Amino acid sequence: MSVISISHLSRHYQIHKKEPGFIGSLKSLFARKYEMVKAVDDISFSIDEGEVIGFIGPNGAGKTTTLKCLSGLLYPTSGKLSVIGFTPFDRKHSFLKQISLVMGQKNQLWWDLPAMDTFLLNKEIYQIPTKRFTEVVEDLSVRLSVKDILHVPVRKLSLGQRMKMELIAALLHSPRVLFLDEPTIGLDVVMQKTIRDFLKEYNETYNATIILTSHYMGDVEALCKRVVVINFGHILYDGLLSDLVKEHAPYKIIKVIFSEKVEEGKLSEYGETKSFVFPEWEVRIKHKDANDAAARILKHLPVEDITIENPQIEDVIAGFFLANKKEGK
Amino acid sequence: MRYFRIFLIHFHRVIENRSRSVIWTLLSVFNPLIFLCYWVAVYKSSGSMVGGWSLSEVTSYYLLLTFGGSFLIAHIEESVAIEDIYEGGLVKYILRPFSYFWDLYFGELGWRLFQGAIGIMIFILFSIFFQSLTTIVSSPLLIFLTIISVILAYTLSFLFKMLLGFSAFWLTEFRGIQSTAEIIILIFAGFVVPLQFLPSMLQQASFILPFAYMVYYPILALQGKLDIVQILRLLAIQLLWISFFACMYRLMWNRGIKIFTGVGQ
Amino acid sequence: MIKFYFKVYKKLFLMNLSVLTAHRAAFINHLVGGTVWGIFSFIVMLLLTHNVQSIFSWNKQEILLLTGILGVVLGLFNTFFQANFDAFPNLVNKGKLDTFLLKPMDAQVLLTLWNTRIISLSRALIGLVFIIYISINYNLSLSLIGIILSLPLIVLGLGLYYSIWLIVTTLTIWFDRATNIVELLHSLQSIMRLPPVVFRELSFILFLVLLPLTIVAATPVGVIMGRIDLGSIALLSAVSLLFLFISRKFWLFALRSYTSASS
Repeated sequence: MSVISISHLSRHYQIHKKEPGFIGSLKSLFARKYEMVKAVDDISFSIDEGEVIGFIGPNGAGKTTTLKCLSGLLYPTSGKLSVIGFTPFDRKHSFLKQISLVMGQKNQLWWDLPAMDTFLLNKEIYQIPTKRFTEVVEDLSVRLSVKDILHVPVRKLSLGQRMKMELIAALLHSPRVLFLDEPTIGLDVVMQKTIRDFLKEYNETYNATIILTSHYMGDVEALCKRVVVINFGHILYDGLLSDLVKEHAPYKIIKVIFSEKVEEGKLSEYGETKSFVFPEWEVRIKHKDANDAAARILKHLPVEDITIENPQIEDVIAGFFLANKKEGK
Repeated sequence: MRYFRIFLIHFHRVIENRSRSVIWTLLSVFNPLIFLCYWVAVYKSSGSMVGGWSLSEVTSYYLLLTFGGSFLIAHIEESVAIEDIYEGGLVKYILRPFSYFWDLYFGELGWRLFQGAIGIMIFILFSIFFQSLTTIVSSPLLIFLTIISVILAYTLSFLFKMLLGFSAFWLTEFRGIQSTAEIIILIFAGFVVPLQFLPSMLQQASFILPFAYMVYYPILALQGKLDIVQILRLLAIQLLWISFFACMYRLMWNRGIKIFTGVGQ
Repeated sequence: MIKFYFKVYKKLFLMNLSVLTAHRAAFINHLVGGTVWGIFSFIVMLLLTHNVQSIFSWNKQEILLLTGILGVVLGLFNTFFQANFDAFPNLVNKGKLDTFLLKPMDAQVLLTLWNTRIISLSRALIGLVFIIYISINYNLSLSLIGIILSLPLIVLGLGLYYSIWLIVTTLTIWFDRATNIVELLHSLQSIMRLPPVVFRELSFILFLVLLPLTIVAATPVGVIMGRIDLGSIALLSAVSLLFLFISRKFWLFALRSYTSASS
């Protein structure tokens, strides 16, 4: 049974263009030029309970718009949406009690007060019974190792600690569906890993359905089996991440460290040089030819060290977008 | 002359922020207009003179107050106290080869001229409306002297506001003294009612304080209510206050600068 | 349901109280500043009425009582709602309205009650003191029934003023450069100080346009003096309820158009 189903969702809006300068302002008072922006254009997909989906695309692709439509913040221009059986835009209170939207930069904690105060406020707003509230706060604060700073004013916490508190505040009511918009943006590497591990455990323990958007492939790789790729408001791919990588990464990268100087001209016969700064050389070689090429390189060139790697996910996705651009989508 | 160039640079910035100026002026026009509505009703109800003034004199007084609020009173104290002293912006001025005083004087003048022009336009607009009800100075000699008193009034209020801002050298909370000064100015410069309408004790106080000479008397001059002798007397008193404040300025600047640089900004 | 909203507000109020005590120096400053300006607005009225005995049907004492009641109304409004209306255009600009729209309770209620400026209660108190001062100074005999009846009228006046603010600030959802409108609304308070008759004598159209503002504080004045004028009471009630209804509908309509800033 799908928990989220999106059917032909479109979200268009008008923006008006204003010419710069004083004359431009005057003109815009009388005759405005409007442009239709199709933030989301006829997309459809569905998600089952407990799935963790990665929603990827460049800036302006329509990810945030889709999430906002799903959480009831935006009114769809057309199409049907159903989230846990509700129409999001009705914004029924019983619907809102079961979802949560976390956006990386926007916060709901009160700056001068301890996070606990904001939690207690949410307890009232979400009508969480006291026993349950205590359990959840205990569980989440232990998992995120913030139990001893619950009563410290938020302004005294570090960015990472604040992020953790925001996350707890968003999960107090044990939502069935969790929308995460760039959850690890601006965090250091250690914090990113902490958050990723936490979300993974949370999904496993509570069986919450999670849709996650992120620029960091690390987030997507760690958490999502399935990805939906979106650009220019259209869905370009909906399926397993591993399949996406396999289909669109038809090459491997061989990294070589030379023990002696080598003429650059000699290298082109083995494959496409990605970079060459002596003594390091990176070459791109077709998947099926990779092992052969590696053997030939070892035989004919003065190699000190050699490794064969899969391409970075970022490169795969970027390549995927470029390919689709070329096809004129 | 280089100060003219400074003036132009500041004025350019004023023009760029013109919409803020317009809104600001419109807001400061509001209160005198409301008071005017009040007085029109009072006069209609009582039918005769109030406090020795006719309705047309009261009308032109409040309409001229829009000019008074936008030109005659400098609004420099906040940026001096907060941006320059508290936040240390004063440093860049000390390092420059020209005087802090004159730099701000001409800078602020630009703002006053722009907003004053808007104030005058509003005055002209309303004068067309309330044609029979406005009085204004007419003889050329008086106009000339009035213009001088207007410039002196700006200078006087500028000096006072600078000194007010300088209190930030010694005080950690500037807002308190700023609010107090604002209220005193509103009452004793004649922004609430013409000084002649004040209860006698307050009236006496207003003659001793400098604020009447920043706004009230220049406006009376603009209305044409002052004859030559009275205007000359006004100019003399303005010059007296200006020289007094100039001395205070020297004093406070020298002392204040020592404290400012001593703190190690 | 009411119990639910009451519980939420209780928590909000306590949190606002905690924030207040967290900044002690600023607290004293704001208290002194607020008191000084509060007293000033009464000084202005005293100065304006110094040479004046009456304006048409309003005598001096009633004009001064009007200022007192306005102080109470504005003091209460400043306390419970002002901070939220002032912050509203900025919330819209930065797309921060989302936090309120995602909560399982009425967004308008949550938004307009989020921050409480407890210090502004001093302004309401000063208004009260001024009313008492005027009554004693001019030997006014205020009717007890009138005072009791004036309380719901003050609440209605508050509701009317609230809905005017709601309508105007809701406009910033479409015209997001209109943050100056908030400044303008603050200036409108000076209009509310004057008896409605002032505008009626000036221009009937002006009088009608400004009516919602002028009746907020003017209606309770007569009632306190013992003149139970059913006509004006009915007028205030009707206009207040009408505006509350219109502002609510307008607000709900605006939410549909709200395009929160995308990342």
